[in-house]
Amino acid sequence: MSSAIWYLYEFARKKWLERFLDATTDPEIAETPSRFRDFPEVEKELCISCGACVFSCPSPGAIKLVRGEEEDTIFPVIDEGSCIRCGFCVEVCPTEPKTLKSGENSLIMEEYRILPHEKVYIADEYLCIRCKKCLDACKVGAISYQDNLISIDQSKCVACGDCIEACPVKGAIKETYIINLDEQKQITNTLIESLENTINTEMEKIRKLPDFDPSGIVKLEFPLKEIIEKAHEIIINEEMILKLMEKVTDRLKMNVIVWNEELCNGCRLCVDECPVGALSYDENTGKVQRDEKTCLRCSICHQTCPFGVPELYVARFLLKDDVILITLKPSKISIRS
Amino acid sequence: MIRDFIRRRSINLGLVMTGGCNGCDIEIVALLSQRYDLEQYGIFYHNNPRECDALLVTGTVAKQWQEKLVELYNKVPEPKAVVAIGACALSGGIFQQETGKVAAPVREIIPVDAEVPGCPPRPAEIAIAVLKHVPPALASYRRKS
Repeated sequence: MSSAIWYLYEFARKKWLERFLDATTDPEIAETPSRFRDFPEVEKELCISCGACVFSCPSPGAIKLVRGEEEDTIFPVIDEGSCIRCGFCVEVCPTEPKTLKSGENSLIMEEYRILPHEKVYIADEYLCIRCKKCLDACKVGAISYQDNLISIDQSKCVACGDCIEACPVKGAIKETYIINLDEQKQITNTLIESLENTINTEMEKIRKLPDFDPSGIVKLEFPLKEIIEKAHEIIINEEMILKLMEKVTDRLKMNVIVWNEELCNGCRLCVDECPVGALSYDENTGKVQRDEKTCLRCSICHQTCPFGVPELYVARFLLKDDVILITLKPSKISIRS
Repeated sequence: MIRDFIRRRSINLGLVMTGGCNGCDIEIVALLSQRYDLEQYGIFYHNNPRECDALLVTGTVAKQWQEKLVELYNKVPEPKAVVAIGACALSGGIFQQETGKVAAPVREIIPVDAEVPGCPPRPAEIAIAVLKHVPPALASYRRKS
């Protein structure tokens, strides 16, 4: 009985009645907490258009780099329909303060960032003149100067390429594609093969060079168009092909051996000297034959032969506009007597 | 006018999950639970599309769902409204890959009145979208001529 009275008293309490009539959720529950990671906010002015946010995004089409109306302004735009609010783009953003902000992720400044780059930049300590222009050009502070050496921190680098533009020396900062290595090898091989073929077809022109004339050089031209078409069948990226060709032609130095068989006296000095056995004595003609396929172009036969049968020329290359210029010079390696 | 007034206070929802990770559906379950308590706003949940005013569509609309979603939409009595929920329903989200078999977005399959972005959206965001957009959509619904 007493409990029944207690229940009646409890139900009749004003507070209880009020709650019963106005049964709604606490507004605090519906409120978004401050730690909530909402859609990222973009501050266009801070963007350095490195593309790290696009690479890090797991959702296709959620973030895009867009060119602004003003010149040279590129900034990320987020499509809320595809964004999954993971905050990866905010974490990897390398600018300070961050271009993208969302929740507490914008406070994360990662010490090591692993970004999927296509290119790697390396400073060449021999060619570098220590002008330190790249230090100012780098927007993420990946380049450091220590012990009279410029070095690039790969974990900070975002592969924007600004250091190459600032560098006054060609080749002091090297840009290398680290993707599609097999395809790059194929392109390099086809390029070198076709260059060698062009030189071989012009062999007669080279033979007419006056002997040991220091000013005597042969100039040839190789059209780039065909080889680029060939390379396109292997890989699509045009910028990559051109950069690769430029790099190959800059570094390539080719030894060309012209075999003057009519001068051979059949002394066979060269046959034993050849490291790969590309030279063989033909008893019928009494002359030494050279097998072009196994020959290394090492120039040992040129140094050995007392009659000047193997003539050695050095070919150098330069990529200019849409042709590769080939320059052939007689080699200055002395002949052993 | 009276009809619109009543409809604003009583919305019957049906939930269609068309493939995806089920995260959005779990958020809707949270809405039905005591913490968010959808029924205090006069929103009721039904399992039968013939009893609904509005459909909540979540998920990427897998290829098998494409025709069935239209069928299901046709079963809802007029006037009707559709709310697409989550990144999957709006654009395919992370499932919109090159090799994916996904028919998203939902708006290309059936007419959609409101869209709630997020992966998943917060329960409060879903409730606000339903309360804000469904009654006017129902009021302005016109019978197909």
